[in-house]
Amino acid sequence: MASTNPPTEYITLVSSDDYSFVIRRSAACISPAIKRMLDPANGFIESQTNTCRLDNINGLVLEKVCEYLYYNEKHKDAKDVADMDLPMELVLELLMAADYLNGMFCI
Amino acid sequence: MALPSSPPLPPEVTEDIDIPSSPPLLPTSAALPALPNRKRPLPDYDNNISSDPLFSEDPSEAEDQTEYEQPKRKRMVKGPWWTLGRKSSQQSAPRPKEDFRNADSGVWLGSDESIDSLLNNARDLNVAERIPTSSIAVHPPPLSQGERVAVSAIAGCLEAGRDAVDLSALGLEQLSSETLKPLHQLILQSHSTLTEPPSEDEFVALTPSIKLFLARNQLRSLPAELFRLENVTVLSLRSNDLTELPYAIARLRNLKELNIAGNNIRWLPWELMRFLERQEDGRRIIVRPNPLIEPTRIEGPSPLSGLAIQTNNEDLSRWSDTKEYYEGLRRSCMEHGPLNIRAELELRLKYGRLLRIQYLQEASRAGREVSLGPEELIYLASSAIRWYHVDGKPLQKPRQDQDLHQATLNPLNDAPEISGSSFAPSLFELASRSVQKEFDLQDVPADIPSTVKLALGAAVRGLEVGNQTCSTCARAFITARAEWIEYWHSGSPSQTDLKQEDILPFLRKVCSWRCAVPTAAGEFRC
Ligand SMILES: [Zn+2]
Repeated sequence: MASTNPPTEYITLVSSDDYSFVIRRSAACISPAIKRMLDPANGFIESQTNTCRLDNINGLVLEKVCEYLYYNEKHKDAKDVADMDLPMELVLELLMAADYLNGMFCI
Repeated sequence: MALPSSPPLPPEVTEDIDIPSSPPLLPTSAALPALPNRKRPLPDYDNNISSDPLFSEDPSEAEDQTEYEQPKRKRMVKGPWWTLGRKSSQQSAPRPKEDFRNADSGVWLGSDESIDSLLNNARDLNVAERIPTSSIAVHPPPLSQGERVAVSAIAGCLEAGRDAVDLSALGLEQLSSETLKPLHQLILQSHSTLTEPPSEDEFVALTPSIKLFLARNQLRSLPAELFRLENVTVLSLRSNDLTELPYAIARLRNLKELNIAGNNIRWLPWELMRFLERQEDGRRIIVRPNPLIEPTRIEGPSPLSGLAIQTNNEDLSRWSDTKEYYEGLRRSCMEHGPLNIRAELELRLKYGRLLRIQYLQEASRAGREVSLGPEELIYLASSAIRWYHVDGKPLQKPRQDQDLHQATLNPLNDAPEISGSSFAPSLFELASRSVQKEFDLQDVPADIPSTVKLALGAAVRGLEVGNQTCSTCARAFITARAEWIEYWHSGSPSQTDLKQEDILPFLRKVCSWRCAVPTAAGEFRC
């Protein structure tokens, strides 16, 4: 596994069911959990592979999470952004995923 | 070098891994930018989105969609416990939302206790639902003696067309929404004697102005229904056991007189500012006595008493002069040592007053009419801001010392890295709002993390009285990201000294870290 040390512009998120999503690092790092995993200072293997495995999040949900991460970055400075639509059948899973992405490691 | 991995280690990904047949109904990929090197392209991804419309405005249709999708999802999602919970709840028969709202009527206030009981309530319903009996009636708890008297007193008012509703000293520890509901039907006596339907003018004149007296009970919380009684003009909650006044108080737009004296209230909701700002139309609020928190101890002579304070406002014709004057005063104070918080409060009071006078002078020169209340409202100081994660968990450990609510010169001292944060609502917030909108609460599995539970508790309250709005940007939110106390001077302009009894603490909550901006020194309301 080649370790490419300068931080790449894109990172990969892998769902519990092995779907990979490549996403801009700046967007992904809004999640404290992802940010910590990728921070070389913490010495996790993820910071070398630029890949985060999210074992609690399946592909369907992770796809929406990625969409959210971009939405969030895009509207960073907008005070009156319309709420992003979430598919009803996923909202509960998304709620849990959000809790997980925020809470992991920072208890 | 062996590197530790954050838990858990990625398993070996082999080619023969059992790829789920295809993710069912993935949303269109339009929102995602072109992915440079998707390692494992989602098989049949594009074929899949072609067939069915994914989301629909029509909720019933969307529900069908969910059911249709269910078998596939079971296969797809292997482990997560919440999906299991969701599945079991989906198997139970849907039940009208209204039932649930009625069932939880009595308890409502922003304490953890009531949130818990709300959710327990929800869980109980959930359990009850799984019992295969044909119809489950939700039995409201039996009414207390006092509440039974209240019910008949309200019936009496309705009958007589009386809008002064006296429910004081009934020993009420609880009051349910059901009990108050009939007050929506209250019409004045003369109305019922009309032979013709009332004209528009008459109708307005006959709208009751409900005076609701709940004084001298033992109420610890207030029913949501109270805040839906738009025609309440006088509300006395004097001498109860309330620890907090709900933000929903702002919904009583016609309220003229509010008495909350003699409770256990430590601060006022920020939403009450709106009420205080419009004193000119005879609004009155009686707050004290209550154990209100204090910005700092104020006793002994003023630390500014040695200073020559200029009171001649003629010199201060420009706003920038006033600012300079205030800075100058600060500097000369600091010559005698570091500025203590009390001196700062007094300086800011003077500063705010000067700006207020300037504003009024300017308005009168311009011929503008400014309606003046008997009391000025001048910002003094803020407590340290308390920051929260997206799910409402505090960012820092709450401080043990008593300084938590004390005024500070640097409310942003413990601020997280705000610049990187976004104004956009968090995913957690968006999802809570969707859950609030789309789900009956009993559909939510019981074994969810406590933070999610708390958020959903707030969502229940939001359903009943509307979500709270951000005190900075006015957007509605379910989970606050930061909160702090602001101390405002609310007293007569002729009162020169700063007195503890003229200071009101307000609790401000905001929807995002970037909205956590305390009021600036010198701000005032007329
Ligand atoms: Zn806001």
